[in-house]
Amino acid sequence: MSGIGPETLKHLLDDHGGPLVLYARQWSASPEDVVQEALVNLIQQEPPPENVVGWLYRAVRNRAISSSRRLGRRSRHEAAASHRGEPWFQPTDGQRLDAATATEALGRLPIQEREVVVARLWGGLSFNEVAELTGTSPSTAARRYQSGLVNLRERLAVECPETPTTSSRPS
Amino acid sequence: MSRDTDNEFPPELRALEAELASLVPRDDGLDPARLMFLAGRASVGKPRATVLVWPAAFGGMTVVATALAVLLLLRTAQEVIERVVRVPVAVSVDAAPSHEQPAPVTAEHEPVIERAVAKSSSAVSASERVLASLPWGQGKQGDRGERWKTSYPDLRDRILERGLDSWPVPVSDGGPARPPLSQRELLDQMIQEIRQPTAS
Repeated sequence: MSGIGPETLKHLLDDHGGPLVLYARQWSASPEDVVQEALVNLIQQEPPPENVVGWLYRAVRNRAISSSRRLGRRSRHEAAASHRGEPWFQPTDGQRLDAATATEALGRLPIQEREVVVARLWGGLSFNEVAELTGTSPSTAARRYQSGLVNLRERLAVECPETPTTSSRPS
Repeated sequence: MSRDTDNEFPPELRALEAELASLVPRDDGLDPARLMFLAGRASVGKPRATVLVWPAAFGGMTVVATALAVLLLLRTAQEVIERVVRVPVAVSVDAAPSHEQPAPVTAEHEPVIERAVAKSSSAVSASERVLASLPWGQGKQGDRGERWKTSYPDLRDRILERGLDSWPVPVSDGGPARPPLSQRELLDQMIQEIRQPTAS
């Protein structure tokens, strides 16, 4: 029997389905199919991977890039990703950030920064996991993440508070 | 150096991070029911190593058996080389007529053969007279070397080795040709010699 049972699969789908689809969207025009194939492939892994979430993101990334290359429209899709009318996020009510605006701003990021931002921010991966996923060092992943946030801030023109709302930086 | 912490980012970026994290990615394209169906089918039909052992063994043995059959069919037949090995042995003339090649007459063997011939002149004369009755054997009795060459084993071996063309041509002495004796005449002659050993 596989270590990945129906309950585990349901939890993975509930917790990481959306972020995985968003991650696959960076390359593939049919991200739901990519995520579905990755989850089915996860069932067939014996023994199951130790880091299931990291394995899923890697599988989604590889499949999305492969499908994009197979269709020969990777760069075209990346360039036009932000121009698609379909928002990447669920509609928001009463929030400062609009889903369509965030989609537009995120889609205009370079793919290296956008991949790291999505994996880190919505996927919840650590910088070590992001670095392993993208084949870079953790420092490079963190630098790309910070650069992506800076670019997003400029595009979104978010008004930052005068004082930090979270814990202060270490000295 | 690990930077797996947000504390190194400026506070304005941390605020933006929190704003972005509040957005929920869409996943309405995922069909959980279809995913569960595909996952169940994949878990049932996935190949297992233990299931593949016997088909793999069957395939391997089939390949080996086919290869051996091909080698068996393509194998060249071993050439059988027959040869006559002449072993020099001292034979007594008293013994039953032997099919082996007579031992070469050497100085060591000559007395033995001579004594054997003297003791059993009747037995020797029976076979030698048959040979002597052949037309080409006439006049050769006195020469011992020629006698061995025209002996029965020698003629047999010569014909087996060289064919009927090696059959010695009868020596013509210029007289009228005498017809060869028939088997019946030779048999009668041998019986007569056996009954009257001293007559000849």
